[in-house]
Parts: sequence; structure tokens; C-alpha cells
Amino acid sequence: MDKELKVAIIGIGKMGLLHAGIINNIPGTRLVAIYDQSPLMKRFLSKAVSGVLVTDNYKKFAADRYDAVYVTTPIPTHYGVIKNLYEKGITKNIFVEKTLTGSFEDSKCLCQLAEQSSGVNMVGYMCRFAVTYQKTAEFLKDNTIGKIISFKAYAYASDFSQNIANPLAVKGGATRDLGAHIIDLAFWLFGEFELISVSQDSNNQLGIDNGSKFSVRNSSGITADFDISWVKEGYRLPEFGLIISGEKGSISVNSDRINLDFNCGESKLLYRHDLSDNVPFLLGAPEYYRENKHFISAIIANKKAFPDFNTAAKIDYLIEQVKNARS
Amino acid sequence: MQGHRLLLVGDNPFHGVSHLSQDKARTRSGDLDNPEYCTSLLKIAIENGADGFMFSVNGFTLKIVDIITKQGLHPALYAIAPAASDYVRLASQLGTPGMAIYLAKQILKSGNLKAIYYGFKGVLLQNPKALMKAYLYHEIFKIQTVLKSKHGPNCFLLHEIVTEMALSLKMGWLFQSFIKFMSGMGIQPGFITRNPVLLIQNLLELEIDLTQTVIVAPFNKAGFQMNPTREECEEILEKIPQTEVIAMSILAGGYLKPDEAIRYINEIPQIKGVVIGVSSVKHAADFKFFKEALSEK
Repeated sequence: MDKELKVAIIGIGKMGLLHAGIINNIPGTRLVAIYDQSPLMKRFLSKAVSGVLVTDNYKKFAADRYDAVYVTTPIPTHYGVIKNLYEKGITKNIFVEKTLTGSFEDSKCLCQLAEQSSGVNMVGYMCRFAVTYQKTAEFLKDNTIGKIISFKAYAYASDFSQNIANPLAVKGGATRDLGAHIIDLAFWLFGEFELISVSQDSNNQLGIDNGSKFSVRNSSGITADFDISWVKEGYRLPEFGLIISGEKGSISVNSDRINLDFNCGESKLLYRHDLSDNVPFLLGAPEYYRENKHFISAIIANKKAFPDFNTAAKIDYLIEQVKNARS
Repeated sequence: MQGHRLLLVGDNPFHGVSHLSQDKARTRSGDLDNPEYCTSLLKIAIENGADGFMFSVNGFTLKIVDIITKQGLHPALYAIAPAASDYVRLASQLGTPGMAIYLAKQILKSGNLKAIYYGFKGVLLQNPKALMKAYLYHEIFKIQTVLKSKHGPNCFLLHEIVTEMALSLKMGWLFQSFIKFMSGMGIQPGFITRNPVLLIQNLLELEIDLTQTVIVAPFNKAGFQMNPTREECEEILEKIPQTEVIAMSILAGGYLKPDEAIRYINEIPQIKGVVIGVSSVKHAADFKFFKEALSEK
């Protein structure tokens, strides 16, 4: 493919704006259209941004064909939006912000549609594009801390620490909105898991998913404990971390740094600064650029992108299991 | 000798920001939640040679500006807006339209007639320039209220998130209107960016007079957040020798030692100033070293 890729965005909230900003800075790619239901957004963006179709009229948006569409609407709308894109043939290459849908059943349907489209599909789990986690993947591949025994995984944020009773319903709860990232990292690094147990969390007394604690095990016998909360004090930015125990030592990693501690007493600390973290265009965090570049490169090379809908559906399955076990 | 280089105190630690790690930010003194304590750090830094204060405009930093002004100190003020982390948090809690409505209510509540006028004009005529003016009047009014003056701040910087979005979406009008507006207010305009190569190329293409504009970008020996590469960021400065370029992240969040950080800065004559965050009395007292070391060659 040697022509410029025409890319469109559906939903211009925080994440839509971020992807819009990055797309225009990936060589060979051009943002050509934005669809958002809000007439207000349409009015102002159409005057602020030139050379891009900005519309709140879906028919008008759908009248064109795009090399790729980014879906950055609220999670409950993903299923309908993506189904329509495939069924109307508006595009065959779709990037959707996590999670794939709000239910495993819907995610399964989208996987089938994606399979039929023969296009590239990807879900926005950006953590695996952060240099610290990528380096951790290398350490695990190289068997740096020996055979893995277990790990602890956490996802913390303070978004609702002052407002525990009123999280925005549209975000789908902490386990889905926040925890999905750390579940993806765990799946990527260690393969699939089955749920063993779910703890009752005092933060959920009001019937709102402010977080969850659960344990899992994979086919190799690796066990893991997950702790997810968006009402944790002291986390002005969301933080995702893993503390991995192996036969020869442990790795503690988050998006800022990696601590390697060996049983022999040696240790090593690596920051982002040590890991070549620069990108051609920085908006938000470097991992967003790499994530977008990966998707665009996959389209150009006609290869699979990761994490794809199938991987993301497995995350949705685990989230649903946790939710069901708790209720 | 280099000419006098501006030495500014940055407010990142006051907001719990660390560019090394969030772990580090959490282990800092709990006193950083207290504007009185932060003001005392700012005061020590000024006594040790700091020329000014670069801050994101929000209630907390305005309290610091208020206290320091009442103490009779008048550091050069470099205001940054929007206070992006506050707005991102609001967007997370209220959604993007909810955040916009919240801001509109704040402007109405402020009673600032110019901001309200341009706000209505912007909404009625669907005019982004008028909306931008409404927002800028609102932020400047907040600062001038604290300063009890119709003048100031010395410089008003657009936060990087706005700079990068405008850059990426090719919103040249925003750069031009912003500079014109600020110059009309007698305030030096500026941009914060983590993509200085792209920004400077773009501003030069737009034929913007960069001799009156401030550019704040990361410059450090580690090349941390110098995109796309450290070398390209250094080279682009040769095209804007007259511009007030202020280096941020010179310590790369504490990854570098102060002496090696300053040695690197001193090798780039186009850098006219630096901004360094303080999170302890020791850091504030270190400004004496920075002041002296920045003057040496």
C-alpha cells in the first residue's frame, strides 16, 4: 500500500482527541473525518480544524470509505458502532479503545465479524507498548529470574477517591475501565488464566464497582492475585504494576521503572530514561504513539495487530467472570 | 561568561508530579499539600537566586502566588494554562461535555465581563477564537485578582497538551490568535512542548515572530522526553537564536545529578533559562548552586 491512509475517528472525547493528534503525525497517514454525536463538538471542531470532515450526521460520515476507523466512544456503544462499520463496509480495519465491548457475548460476535472482514483489528491496551513492560517481556523471555511461580498485579487510581458513591456509570466500573489494562498485561506476558476466587471488597458496598480483588491460575501453574481500585489515595495518575516471583528472583515493574532483585543479593533498577523512550511525536505518553504506529504498520503490511479482538474478548470474559462471581 | 540566564522554580512537585516515578512522588513530604509550605520553599529558592515561578493556574498555585505577593516578594510569573491534569481528571469524572459545562459555569460565576462576553459570542457565533479569548480572559483574571493588579503575569504559556494538539491538527490560527491576544494584553506569550522540533518548524512556517515568544521544552543530558531525538532538539535551536527558550526537565526528574545537568545546559547558548521543581528545603537551597553554575562557562 503506497497511498496515504485515510483514517476516521468516531467519538471525540479525551481518547478520540489523543488518537486524532497522533494519527496526523504518523507518516503516510491522514485524519480525514471525525464523527461525534454531540452537535456542540461538531460545531466547534469543524471551525477549529480544517481539511477534516467533522460531522454529527452519521449518514454523511458513512457515505465515505476509510482505510481505518478508530472507535473511541463510551464502552457500552462499542458493539453497535463496530457492528455497523463492518456491516456497512465503511472500513475493514478497526481500532477500538479498550475494552472491546461491555460483554463477552458482544465481544464474541465482533470477533466473528472481524474474522469475516479480513481486515486488521486492534484494541487500545497501550500498556504493553510502554518501554518498561516491553523490557520486562524480554527479561521473561530470557528467563532472567528463572521459572515463574506467581505474581501480584495491581491497577490503582484516585479518580473517585473523593467521590466513592458516584463514579460515572458510562465508564463501566473500575474492574473494566481500569483493571482491563493490567489483565491485558498479564495475558500478554503469561498467557490465559482461569479465575480461582474473588474477594468481597468494601469499596463495592454501594453496588458500584469501585474495584475488585481476585485470584487466577494459568495452565503452567502460575498463580496471580489482582488488586484493582479507582478509589485509592495517592494515585493522581493511574498506575499499573506487576510484582513477579521467579525461582531466581523477582521483577517489580510499573510504567515508570523496573526493579530486578535476585536471590543471590544482586539487584538492578531501570527507569524509562534507561530504555530509549523517545518517539517521533509525543502526545500523552510515548506508548500511545507506538500503539498507533503498530496498528497503522499492520494495515500497511497486511499483518495482524496485537492485542486483537480475540485477545480482548478473553479479557472481557475474565472481567465478566469476576463480576458474576461477586454478584 | 554566559549572559544572565533565567532561573525559575517549577511547581510540578506541588502537584505530586515526578518525571522519574510516581513512587517517588508518593514518598515526598506530605507538607507539599500545604500552600504555606510550598510558598516557604519558593521563598528560599528566591533568596538563593531564583528569578521567578512557573506554575499551572489552579486554586493551589494561586494561593501560593497570593501568599508570596503578600509577603512583598514579586518573582517573575510564568503562568501555564490549562492546568491539564485538573481538566483530565474532570473529564474522567464528568465526561468531556460535562467538563466543558463545568468550565462555562466557572466563567459565569467569576463575573469577569470580558470572559462572559467572549464566551457568549463564541457559543452564539460558534467561533473558536472567541471561545479561546473567553478562556484566556478567565485565567488571566484569576491571576490578576490574586495580584490585585491589572497587569501580569509576565508570561502566559499554553500547556503542552494544547500546543501539541494544535500542532498536530494544523490549527495555525490558534498559535497566531494566542500570540496576538497575549501581546495585546502586554503579556509575553509562550508554548510548552515536548515536540520542539515540530513546533519550531511549524511556527517558522507560519512566519510567527519568535523573538517575542517563549518556548519551554525538555533539554537534558539524558535526552529524556527530547523528541524525536536529543540531537534534533539541539539543532533546531540554531534556527531561533533570539527566542527565549527555557529548558525544563534538566534533571530528567532527578535521574541526573545537578552538576552534570548544568554542564549540559551551559553547552547550549540558545537556552535562555531553566525551570527546576523544588520539593524540599534542600532543593530550594540548591538554587544558590544553580544560579552560580549557570553563570559559569
